[in-house]
Amino acid sequence: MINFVIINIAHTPLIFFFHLFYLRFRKNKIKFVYLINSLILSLIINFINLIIFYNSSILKIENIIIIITIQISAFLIYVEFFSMICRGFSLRILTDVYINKTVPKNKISSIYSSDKGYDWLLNKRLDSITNIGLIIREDYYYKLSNTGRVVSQISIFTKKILKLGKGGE
Amino acid sequence: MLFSILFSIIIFVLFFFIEISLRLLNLRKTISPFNIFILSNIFFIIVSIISNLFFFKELLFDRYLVSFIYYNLYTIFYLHLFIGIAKSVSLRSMDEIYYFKQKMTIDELKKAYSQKDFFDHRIELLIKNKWLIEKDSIIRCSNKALFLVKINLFFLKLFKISDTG
Repeated sequence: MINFVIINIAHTPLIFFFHLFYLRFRKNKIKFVYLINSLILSLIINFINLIIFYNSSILKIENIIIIITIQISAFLIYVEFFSMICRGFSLRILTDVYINKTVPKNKISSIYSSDKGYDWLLNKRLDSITNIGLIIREDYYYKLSNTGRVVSQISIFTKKILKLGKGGE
Repeated sequence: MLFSILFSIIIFVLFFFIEISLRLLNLRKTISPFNIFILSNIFFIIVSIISNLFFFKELLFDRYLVSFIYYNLYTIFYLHLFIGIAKSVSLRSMDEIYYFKQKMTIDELKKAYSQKDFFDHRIELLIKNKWLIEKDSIIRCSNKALFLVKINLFFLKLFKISDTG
């Protein structure tokens, strides 16, 4: 069983390599569907290799569940990592300070993301949640959609239970 | 197979219950996902050892290994949601709109979720956790931040991504 688990874990970097292929050779880079495709391809290669090295009798229901579980776990870790690289707030602050070598404390917000600043950050976030339908833009107002309302209720409830404060700080 | 699935679910529910209870009693305040992940794995190992000593003496190691795999999936799911809810700027914006009768102009949102909330708190946290060093109100990166930023810049180049944040 340990060997079987190790072989499956060894296949998990395929998610990263397939996703890297998409990012380097596709125009529209940040698409969730590329991540899902990478997971599916990784699973397929994983299954094929197991059938070649063992035989098809390895594909009992429990083993299939284990393979899928390991791949999904690795996928979620990679998604979190990729999200941090693309959208990580703290990481971007560190990068901006690094690029500028030293920064006055009160200027950090203005140099954020190569001098784009706070307004750009807020607008970018609002645009992305508008695009996925969680909020609706009506004239000068931002309004929660029905889905956005539910998501927000869950978020507020979870923050209360886990004592996370207001979040996003 | 059924034992592995049930065992992993029971331990995870137990861990989650203890995690929520400690937070509600203000005995646990960490928002470090790494800390939570390590603790959850230690918890699993301890409970497995106790269950093996007192309840399932004839159970093979393989069963615990499979349970551990399922358990880690639930933990990673939980951490994924945890990080998203705790740190997400987008969710915070939505929550502010929800509190404000579910409709807000951009200026009202900027007042409710101000630059101070955005940046100052995060910068203080980075200084407190020694990612940034402050001297005479001038900020620079610490050595561990330099290392992390170089890794970040490497991956940004590899992924060919320019606009981040």
